[in-house]
Amino acid sequence: MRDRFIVLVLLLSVASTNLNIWTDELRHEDTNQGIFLLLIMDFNDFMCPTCLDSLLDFCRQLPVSFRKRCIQGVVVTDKYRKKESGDSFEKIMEKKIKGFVKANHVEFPILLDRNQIFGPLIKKGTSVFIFNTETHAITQHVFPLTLQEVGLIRLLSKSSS
Amino acid sequence: MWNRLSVLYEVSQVIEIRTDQRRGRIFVAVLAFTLFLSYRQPHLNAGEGIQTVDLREVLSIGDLEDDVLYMWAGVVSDEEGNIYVTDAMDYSLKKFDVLGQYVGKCGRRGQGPGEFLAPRLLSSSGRFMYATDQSLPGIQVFSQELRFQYRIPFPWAISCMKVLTDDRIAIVPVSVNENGYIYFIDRRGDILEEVKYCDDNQEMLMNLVEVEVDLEGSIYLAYCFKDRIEKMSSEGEKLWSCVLLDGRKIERKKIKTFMVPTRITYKSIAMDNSQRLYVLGGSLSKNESRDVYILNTEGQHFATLTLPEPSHCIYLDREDYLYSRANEGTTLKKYEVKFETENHASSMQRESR
Repeated sequence: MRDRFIVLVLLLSVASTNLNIWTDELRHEDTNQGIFLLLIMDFNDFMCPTCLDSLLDFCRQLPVSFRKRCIQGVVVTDKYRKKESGDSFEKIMEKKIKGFVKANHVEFPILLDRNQIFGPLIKKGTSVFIFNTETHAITQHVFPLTLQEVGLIRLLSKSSS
Repeated sequence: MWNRLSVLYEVSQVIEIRTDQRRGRIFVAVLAFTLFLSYRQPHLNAGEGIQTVDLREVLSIGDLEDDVLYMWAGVVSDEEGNIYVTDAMDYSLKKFDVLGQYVGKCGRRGQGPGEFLAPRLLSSSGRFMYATDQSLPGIQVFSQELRFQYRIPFPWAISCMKVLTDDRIAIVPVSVNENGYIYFIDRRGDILEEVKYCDDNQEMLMNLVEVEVDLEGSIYLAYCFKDRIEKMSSEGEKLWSCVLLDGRKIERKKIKTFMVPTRITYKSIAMDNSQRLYVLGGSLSKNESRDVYILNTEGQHFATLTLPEPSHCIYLDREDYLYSRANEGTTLKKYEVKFETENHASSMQRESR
């Protein structure tokens, strides 16, 4: 419980910093409301074609400009990391992520969760966190998303594009 | 060996002093005989006189800095020594020349001809490359120039594939009902032959095997989830069966209504030109996914080599170079296998031709 609280505080502080930056950008571009998405992915899903389909199909349904500006990806490798994994582990994972990004034409940045901060947030699986600048709310949606969830995010993303 | 016997003799002398003389001698004799047998085992080499086996790296493809390999899954080579790999992370089939230089690649994510969702196994007739996909049925066939040729239909997921000729392919399917069979199919996907290798009516997956076929058509099986290695004739007659890990059983756990194994016993099997069988151990081995057990064609285990890093598979090319994984699949390593005999060190590559 304590760990989750710490992580949430960290996440919110990171998010609020980014929110300010993105909000400013959005305001500068004269939009009334906006969202940005934090996509936290379990690396194991990269090896699961069905899981990957769900994730990539969702991303493709969002406007191109939104994909490029308003999504940040983070890859969690906690389950993949072994006790004996050495210093090269991060390099190996970053290389694999690079291959994934290139092969799937991913248009948003993806970082590796080097410090294993985000893992506790996705115990139920790969998730998308919606930061809503209008309502100042953060909501988590676990993949595979329902049709309603996809519809809602698409609607919100169009407002932000 | 003589050093060990002399040590045993010295020990027996000490024990004899401390125990009743007659009982002590009997005990020591039994102890000495048991120890002698246990020391002797690794040197039972079916007349080859092989003492140890070692690896020498000769080629490394892909490293942490380049964009050559992301997660290679299957590997094979052609008659000229070019190397082909399937890369699961970027949905491709890649080609490297004999020096390890990148030549080209084909494929992308998709379900069309020449496309992949999850490329995995690779085998070759020498002329063509055969690739399976975990998520797509059948086998895709490519030329040496990486041009898609055709797809061979097959109704079930493929666990193991061995291309013997362009018209004879051995397949072990993953199927709930069809377990325990090896199918030989032709280029159209027609079943030429079914060979039943296991009579146990086991639950799903427990009868999965890795297969190797020698030039005479004899079939070698390494069970993925049992401690069992077997040889069958081409007609399906079992010739021998052996265990290497004391017959240890794999634990299973329940997922939905299925009982599935939790660890792998043997991951891969390959044969060199001297008819030596190489079996890559899995989770039950002393060095998990690194120990490669070497057996002769009679099923006698005479040597073990240990790979520097865990691997999901091993492959032996036409010149008996051994290929395995490194850096979590971002690197492909090629090794020369060196056998040390009593009289001299010999490289397998000199013996094979």
